[in-house]
Amino acid sequence: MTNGSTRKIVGIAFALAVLIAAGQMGGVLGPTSAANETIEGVRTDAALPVSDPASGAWERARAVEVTLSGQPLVAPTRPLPSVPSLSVRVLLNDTYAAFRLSWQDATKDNRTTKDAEFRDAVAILFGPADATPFICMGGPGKDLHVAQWKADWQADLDEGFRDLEHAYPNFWVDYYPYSIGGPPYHLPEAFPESARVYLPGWYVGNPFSDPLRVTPVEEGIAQGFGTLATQASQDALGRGVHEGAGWSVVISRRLDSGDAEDIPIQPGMILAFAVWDGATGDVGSRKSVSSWISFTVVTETPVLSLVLAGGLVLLIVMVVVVMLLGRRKRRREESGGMAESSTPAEENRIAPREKEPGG
Amino acid sequence: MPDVVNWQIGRMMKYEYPESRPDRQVAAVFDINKCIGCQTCTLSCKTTWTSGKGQEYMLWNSVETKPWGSYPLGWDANILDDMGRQSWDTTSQVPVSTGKTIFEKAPTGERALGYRPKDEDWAGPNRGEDETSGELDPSNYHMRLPHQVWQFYLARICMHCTYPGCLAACPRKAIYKRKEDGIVLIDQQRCRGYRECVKACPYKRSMYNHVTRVSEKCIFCYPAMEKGIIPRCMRNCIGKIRMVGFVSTPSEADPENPIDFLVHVKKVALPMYPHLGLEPNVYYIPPINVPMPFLRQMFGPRADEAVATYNRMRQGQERELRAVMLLSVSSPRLLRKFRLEGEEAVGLDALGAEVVRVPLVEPQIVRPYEDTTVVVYRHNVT
Repeated sequence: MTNGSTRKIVGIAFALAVLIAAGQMGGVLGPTSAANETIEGVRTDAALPVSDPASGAWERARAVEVTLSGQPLVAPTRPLPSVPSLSVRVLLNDTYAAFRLSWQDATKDNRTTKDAEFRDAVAILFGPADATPFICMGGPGKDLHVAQWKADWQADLDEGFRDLEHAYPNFWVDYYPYSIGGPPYHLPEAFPESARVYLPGWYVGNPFSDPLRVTPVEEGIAQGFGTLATQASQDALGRGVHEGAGWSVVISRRLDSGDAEDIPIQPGMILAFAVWDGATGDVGSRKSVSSWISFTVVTETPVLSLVLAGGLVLLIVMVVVVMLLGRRKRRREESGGMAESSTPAEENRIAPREKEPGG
Repeated sequence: MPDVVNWQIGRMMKYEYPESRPDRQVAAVFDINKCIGCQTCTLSCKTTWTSGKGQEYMLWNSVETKPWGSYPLGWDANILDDMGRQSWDTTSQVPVSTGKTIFEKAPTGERALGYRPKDEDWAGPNRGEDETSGELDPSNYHMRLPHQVWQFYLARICMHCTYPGCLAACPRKAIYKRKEDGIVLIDQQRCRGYRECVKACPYKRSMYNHVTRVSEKCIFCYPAMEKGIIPRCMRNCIGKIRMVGFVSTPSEADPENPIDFLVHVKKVALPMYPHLGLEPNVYYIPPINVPMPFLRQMFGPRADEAVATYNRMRQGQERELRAVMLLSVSSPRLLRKFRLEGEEAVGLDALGAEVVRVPLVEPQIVRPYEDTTVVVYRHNVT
């Protein structure tokens, strides 16, 4: 192979590399990562859609399809997954990270008022990079930070607390002790402190029993199976929408909330996901889960950079074309249209000429 | 799963956790023969603990008319059906269950065999109220035992089992058994409303609160018990069918303890569906008017012996047994010991101090029809 052809290949390869890099910088091609092994969050300067799963901004992040399996380890189990996979996109800015999670689920299960009603839900498990936690739920001394979005909490926020009269429209009651007003006694306004004694879960501060929701996302901390505890400080935001055949949910949180129970969201940490399909009886440990997935971050290039990258590519293409045309012209002039020689003499002749423009 | 001792089935069995008996185990004996189905117990519990929003359907105490009545609907028929045919080895002195418990029969990936009642199953507090076992045949109706047709009232609360199904099934360990008295409680802060307990309890005594969205159950009135006062449902029992106290294991049975005397010494008080394997701590004196096959199914192979002993008491024998029966609900205070003094039954507290004294035969005084001091005639002369 002649030095000339080598240089030509190198030049084209370089140009291609620049093209790909420019494309990635502009977010046109998206990061190249192996599905199920790495999730790449895209860092942006723009505002994040922290509670809008339908925002067009999510197109900036590439979707990674995360495979889910059953939970066969700890009884009660879910031997086969009720949801086979979950699509994940992640956007970050200087202060927040937002996760968009979507999956197929034909039934919208957002009621837990009746005994046989179970919610749809999705959870992210955040694990530190330095110690791989015990699979699924962490272990002693290996805290996992959990953020779980719940469909029934979302319904409480969107439509008002799902009270007894919603589940049983024809029910009647004479009175409840110490409640105020008249039937059907809506929560929470008809239940002052003294009447709350008769709502034990609410009275003792169980977040599941609290009709005054502020977020559909519960932040918890886990140190093993069955240890999940609601955090004292709730810092997560989110929103879920069921449209057509499935859920689209956003869970977002500050990168570093300042809460000692939160694991800072940063490159190198590991993530896992769990999905519950209430219609199939999923609840608690009956869930579909992912394996651990590493988390990295790439920086999104602003529009100006995209323009500059495009200009650079155009310039390189133009230079290459001009060089090739110039050489063809010279060869025609020197050898009367003969094919390019590969003798050292020719190389030596060409080399000094190439150096001429630079002096 | 660890092996644990369940003396009620006469053998070791598998359970989710190792054996860890409380320091004392609360227990009660219900004499079915005396229950009149007045539901005062039901209402006393209802007005005390479950009058909040979301608890409308909840009856931690209920009274069912057997054989058909049930709450939730068909709870016993369903679990018996799921369990399949069971058997006992009665050749040894202590009958041994040769079937499987709900823990040993748990499907793969489950902690216990159970089922979730349908929403409408909870709708009737005693579906089948006052239904008898069958239709009356007018040509053959005599007052004889067992009756041609029969029914009985079955008062039920949480059994505060030694091996609770609810506790085993909860993956969060939100249900715990108190070391000091064996009362089984659901931690209202820790429960996340998974309802595994509702599914696993074969007696269906864990219930889901519609409004707080966590599960609740009978607490054996532990605030009262801690003060030596018996639970509300027991205290208000019109028929005085309930004896409350602490039960020992057979090897540690104290004949002066009223519960131990009924359960271990006289063996008239039997656990309900002992073969399920939970070692329930509410015991029943079987109804004497009911055919034995039904009683054996419900109370195990010792039902015959219990009915025979009870009948002896009715015939004037078994004076100590009579003494204990008369002490039931004779005081709101917890009776830890008893003794028979002449013609009187005496109930004692934990320190041996007398709490209550009851005559074996209520003195009967017949007053003259005419009260000569005020010159009136009495309508009620006894």
